[in-house]
Amino acid sequence: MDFAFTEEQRIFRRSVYDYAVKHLVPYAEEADAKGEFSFAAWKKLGEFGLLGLHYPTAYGGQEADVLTACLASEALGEAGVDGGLMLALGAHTYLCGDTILRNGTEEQKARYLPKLASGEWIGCMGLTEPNAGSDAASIATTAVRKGDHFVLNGSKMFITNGPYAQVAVIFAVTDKSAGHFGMSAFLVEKDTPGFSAGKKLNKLGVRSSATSELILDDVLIPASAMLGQEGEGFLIALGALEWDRSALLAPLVGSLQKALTDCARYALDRRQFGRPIADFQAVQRKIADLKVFVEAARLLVYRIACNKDKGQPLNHLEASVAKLFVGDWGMQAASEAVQIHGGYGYIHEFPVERVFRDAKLGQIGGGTSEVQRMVISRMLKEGLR
Amino acid sequence: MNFEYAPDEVAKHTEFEAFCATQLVEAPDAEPAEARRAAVRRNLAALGAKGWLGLELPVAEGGAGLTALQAVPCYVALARAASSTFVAAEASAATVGGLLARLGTPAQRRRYLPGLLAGTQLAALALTEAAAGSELSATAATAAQTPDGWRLTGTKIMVTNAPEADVALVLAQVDPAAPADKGLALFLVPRGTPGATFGPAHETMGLKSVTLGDLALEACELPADALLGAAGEGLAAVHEVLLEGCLRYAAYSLGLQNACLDLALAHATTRTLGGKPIFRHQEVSFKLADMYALSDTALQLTRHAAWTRDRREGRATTLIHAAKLFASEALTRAAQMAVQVHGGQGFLAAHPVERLYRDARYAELAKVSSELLRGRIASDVFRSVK
Repeated sequence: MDFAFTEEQRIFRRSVYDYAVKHLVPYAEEADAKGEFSFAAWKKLGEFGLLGLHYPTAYGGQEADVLTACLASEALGEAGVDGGLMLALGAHTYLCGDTILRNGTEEQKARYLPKLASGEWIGCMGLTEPNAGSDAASIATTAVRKGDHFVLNGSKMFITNGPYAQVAVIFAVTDKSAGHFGMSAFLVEKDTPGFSAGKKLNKLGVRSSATSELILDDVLIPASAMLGQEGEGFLIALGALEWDRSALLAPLVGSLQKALTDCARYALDRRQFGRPIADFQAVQRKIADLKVFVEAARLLVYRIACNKDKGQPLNHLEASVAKLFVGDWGMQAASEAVQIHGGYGYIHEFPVERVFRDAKLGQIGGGTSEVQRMVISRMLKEGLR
Repeated sequence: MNFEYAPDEVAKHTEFEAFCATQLVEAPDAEPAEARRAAVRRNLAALGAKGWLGLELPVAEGGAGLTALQAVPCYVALARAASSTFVAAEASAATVGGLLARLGTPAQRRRYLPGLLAGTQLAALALTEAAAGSELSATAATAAQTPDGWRLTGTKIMVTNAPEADVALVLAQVDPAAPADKGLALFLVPRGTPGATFGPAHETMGLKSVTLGDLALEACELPADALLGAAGEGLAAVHEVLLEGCLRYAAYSLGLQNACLDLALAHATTRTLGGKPIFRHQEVSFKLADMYALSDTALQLTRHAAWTRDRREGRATTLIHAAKLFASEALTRAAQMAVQVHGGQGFLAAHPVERLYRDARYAELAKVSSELLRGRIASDVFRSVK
């Protein structure tokens, strides 16, 4: 057992942090306040290679390991990058790009990955539907074969990057009678007739990411746009989960590390009743709990990344524990961070207000806390510990 | 980075776990005190015979030579199999034995360590007083230098193992004029020393097979070689073993959490309501999920803290405190949920979950309380941003 990072990993993490403070954080406040995706910040992410860190160099990536990708995401959060930009990065790089990397043909990879890695194109993934969220196997979008083509009909909901994505990984039912194995994945490009994005949704948090419905109305795509084999859709979607439980959680851990540092400094500066509020045990309690959260959450996220780097299949129990803990305990930690700031934590002047709103997604996106408890308890019952 | 133990470590852990699960038996709480104590003494001797009482002590001193990280699963298994035995062994061989191995002269080590590590003798660390517990610099017991050695005066309370101990290690003031943290020293007081009264056992809520009592010292004359370590350095040494003790009680918390989860899971999957196992209800199954998530998280914190301790990293203190705080509070919740899952049956004194609930309550109080841990963690954070 060894919890040490390599020198290379530590240096890279530091360089991402420094870069983010200088080139990404300046966009954060305005993008969040306006609820607008910042193309300028996006370009900066691409310039530093952060949009495809683990892709092969042949596709514009840096062949980074998963742990390095996690550390980079955590560093973005710790620097103070807005949750929206980090979510856009996650949906783009992992849910879209990595799904293509793992399942695509050589042609598909060569067509999409370099454009995604540079940030020239934005990617998204469409699984969730208005009536199929936690129960992802019950999607209603259909793909019907028509000669050398497929015709897609249906709609996808809450799609991060939906309004701007040039390419979408879309999950649709190809054989209703086959249950889990009747779902397939397709690559659908933005300008395909019949494919459109609904209006941008106005969100509570991660406001600087663009989210919308995707509408598929008799969308005709060539059979070569199928990603992986017919019927593999559910397994392909599950593959994306590994990232959902590691690199996509890391930004929140970084954000709460920053919140902890901000809270500690604030508590030392802020004086009430003739002394810094840091002297009050009620404040110390919250600081301690935040610290414990950050230390624990890091380990849970790194464990997923580390095992993925070792080539082990995802341990769903570990993954659900990580997601549940970062989601539920993270929300609690973010709430305490606001509380320490009192009235100042409730206004937009202080970054903890944004972290609080962004943290809520951790309990919902990529599988709700309730779904994680279903997974954990089912695995316990089946003796899969 | 690697989150797994090496195969040879896993093999040792498996052997230790199997031994604890099959060889250690504690008497039910309803048995007479003598029977309960005798069972613990048998367990200690069995562990001692295997060389497993001084898990982290050097092999040359009769220990098992494990690192803190390697010892974690052993303490988890021991606490789970025999909670009172864990507490007695932790106070005696691990804590007092650890201090002897670290500070003792060859003669002191030869005299006491073999018996403590064999489990045939029991030691107690006497720190707490009526007005000094968490704040040990307020220790009022005094050790005055005499021509032949030392004269101890004072009263220690809440001393684990005191009613049965063959030797007590007593913290006392040697130099009232010195700064608060530089005037204390540790003294070895064998049972039978005139002036030293090892008091009777207090009735406790849980952990009923281990004894807890007071130690009165009235003009207790000790030879010069009763002093362990240097005069004035007692407090620093005690702080070290309390820190190690926090790590061990994080492991204790994990062991009892595992027991809580297993009992609750077994009950939830076999007890039926309307023809269906109560597990089918999310109010039950989600409790199990939370118990698991908390214990798994606590385990990661504990292992990581132990690893930093083995590497003597500066952040080890904060991380050990964090691990103990989280693990012990997770246990409090797990025990509460385990009883709740059992419904009225969990309220019966004969049910193992009822005893677990009471034994669990000790974790947040042991060594350093949750309240103090939070204060220390927070002050470490404040220091880091100044």
